[in-house]
Amino acid sequence: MSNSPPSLLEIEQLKTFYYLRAGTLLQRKVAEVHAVDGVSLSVRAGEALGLVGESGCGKTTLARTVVQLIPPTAGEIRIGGRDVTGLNRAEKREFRRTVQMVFQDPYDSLDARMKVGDIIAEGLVIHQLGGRAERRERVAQLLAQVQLDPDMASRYPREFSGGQRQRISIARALAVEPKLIVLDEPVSALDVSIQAQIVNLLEDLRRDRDLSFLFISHDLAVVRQLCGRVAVMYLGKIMELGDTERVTFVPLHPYTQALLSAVPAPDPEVEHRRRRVPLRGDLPSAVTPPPGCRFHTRCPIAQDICRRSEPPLRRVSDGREVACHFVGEDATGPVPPQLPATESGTSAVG
Amino acid sequence: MDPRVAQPISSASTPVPVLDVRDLRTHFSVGGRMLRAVDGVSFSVNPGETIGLVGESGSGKSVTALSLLQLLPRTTPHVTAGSAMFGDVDLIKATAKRMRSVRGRKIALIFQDPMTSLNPMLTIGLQVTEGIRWHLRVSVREAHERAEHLLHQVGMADPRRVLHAYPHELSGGMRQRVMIAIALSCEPSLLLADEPTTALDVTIQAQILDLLRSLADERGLAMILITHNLGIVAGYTHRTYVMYAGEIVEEAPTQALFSKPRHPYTMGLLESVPRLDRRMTGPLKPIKGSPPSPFDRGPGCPFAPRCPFANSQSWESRPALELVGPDHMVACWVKP
Repeated sequence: MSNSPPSLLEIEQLKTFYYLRAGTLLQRKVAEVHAVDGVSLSVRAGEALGLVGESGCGKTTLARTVVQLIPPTAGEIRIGGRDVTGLNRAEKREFRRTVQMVFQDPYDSLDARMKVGDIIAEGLVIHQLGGRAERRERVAQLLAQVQLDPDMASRYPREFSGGQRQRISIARALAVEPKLIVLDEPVSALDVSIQAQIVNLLEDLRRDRDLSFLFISHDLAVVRQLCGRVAVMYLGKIMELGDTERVTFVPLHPYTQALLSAVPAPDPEVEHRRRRVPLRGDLPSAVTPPPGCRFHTRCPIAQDICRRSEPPLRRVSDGREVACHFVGEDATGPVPPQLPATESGTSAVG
Repeated sequence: MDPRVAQPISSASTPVPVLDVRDLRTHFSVGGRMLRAVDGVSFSVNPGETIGLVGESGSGKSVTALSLLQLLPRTTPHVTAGSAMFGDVDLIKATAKRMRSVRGRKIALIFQDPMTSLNPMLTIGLQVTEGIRWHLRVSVREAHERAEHLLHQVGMADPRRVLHAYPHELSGGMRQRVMIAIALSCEPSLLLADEPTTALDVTIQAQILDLLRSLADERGLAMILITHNLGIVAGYTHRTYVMYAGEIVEEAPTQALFSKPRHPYTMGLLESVPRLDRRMTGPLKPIKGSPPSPFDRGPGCPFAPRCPFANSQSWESRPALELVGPDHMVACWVKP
């Protein structure tokens, strides 16, 4: 592995903290929110890596840090081996030719006052990629690639549905021919029957252009469709990272097991047989994360060691990385206690 | 039979439905045009039964719920027709005064976002006891005792602390438990839940749905679960109604709907949804096109433009619901 070229994206021990401030004049820092608290991962050229987790896990903050919308607090982000934290303005602009982003809310991420064609061409203008005629042609090409009618370029976003707007966002991201696209819940706000269209579109585009994706989602089923590898985040850290099929079918980390046991399947027979892994309590505060393993306050198999020491994210025999004291190097994991759904539903909260 | 989805209570003869909706229509007048949000919907719920009303945006499922409870905004001119018999009250024609005694008391509601349903300025205690005092006319102390008991029943470990808390101090899951407590506080016979878990994380969603399920079983409560999530419908309902463009296009016992869907829309949905429970067989199979505008509905089947089986009859006239199996109806000319 040591002689292989650097991955397209490498993140090392990345930390992004938010500061909660109080006071009117002085705005002193009163608390640090450890949104991303030491994350390392990599994405190869042409690969799609999924990042899943529930609210408060830090996946959106991580996405925004990677695209330089938020400055990191510590750690490194490398694109093609080169550190991209601390770039000056000109370098940042160049960076945006390589890394682009698609956002969750199709109704919020397109400027309502601009025509669709101008939205898509904006990157071309900024990077001075071609004159007016070339831009027009490129916009028409891009609209065709996202399966939209080229004469939609002269219309405004409000005339389009959610699914169409996401296609416009994707066209915009593709315009400057990036190598990596960070997508933050790109299909979550869309109807089920439209989601499938966009998921397929993304897969085709990625394959045809050898693009890399960092795909953030709370929906494991969508991630499974698009991403060869997946990272599961909880409270600012990665709990498990590996081949999507393996993580989905033989989850090793207790949090991954709980997450998977909670996803409802569109099949009554499967639902009848479902055994839920119960999680106690609520998500702890990211301002004062629990000592030791972050997950221990809710983990069904937590022991003393979990409170005292934080398990490192460690590689196991099948190539995965897992952060749990009870997962062996031979990729055997704990068997979680499983309850029939009616019992786990009345477990006490709060 | 799934022990989690308890059998509906039924006597030897056919049970009297708790709610019997016939040919519900809600049309809005928008800028001179007619918006047919709900266009001839019929369904019924028996005691102890949970029905699913599943559809995507524009299907009319939420407007159906709001129409039943006369909760459509008064500022938007609308016309409602049809009937919704709840005991001997027709909810569509009842007076506002009558509705106030039914809503929150005999029919309870849970909406998607508990943060907008709860008043941020009032403690949880005040909000849970408000309905109890209004509908049941008991003392403050008794209302508080009942509230505490309810919060315990919905799984709160420290009901007293929660009673004194404000909504923003609770997590989303806890707020939704509070909504369930409020919903159950006056012992309703019917619960209407419109996307009750959509705003919640998946692990919390599972807890809340399991809780609703067990509470409904304990009390023989009838429930209408409105959702776009097929997994939720599969796990928590006895019977499912699939809505498209303001109409019911297929209805069946949940098991049969998933194992033998007969409407092309239902079939398309099941084939297009990404899954964790099955082997992947290449790309998803989406339904082409997008949902129709609620304004210009042509004379034919509303799904025709997106239907791989549509024939000339599909374009000419709207199919009515027909029986295709035990308790299984579908509105389709082709019936593939």
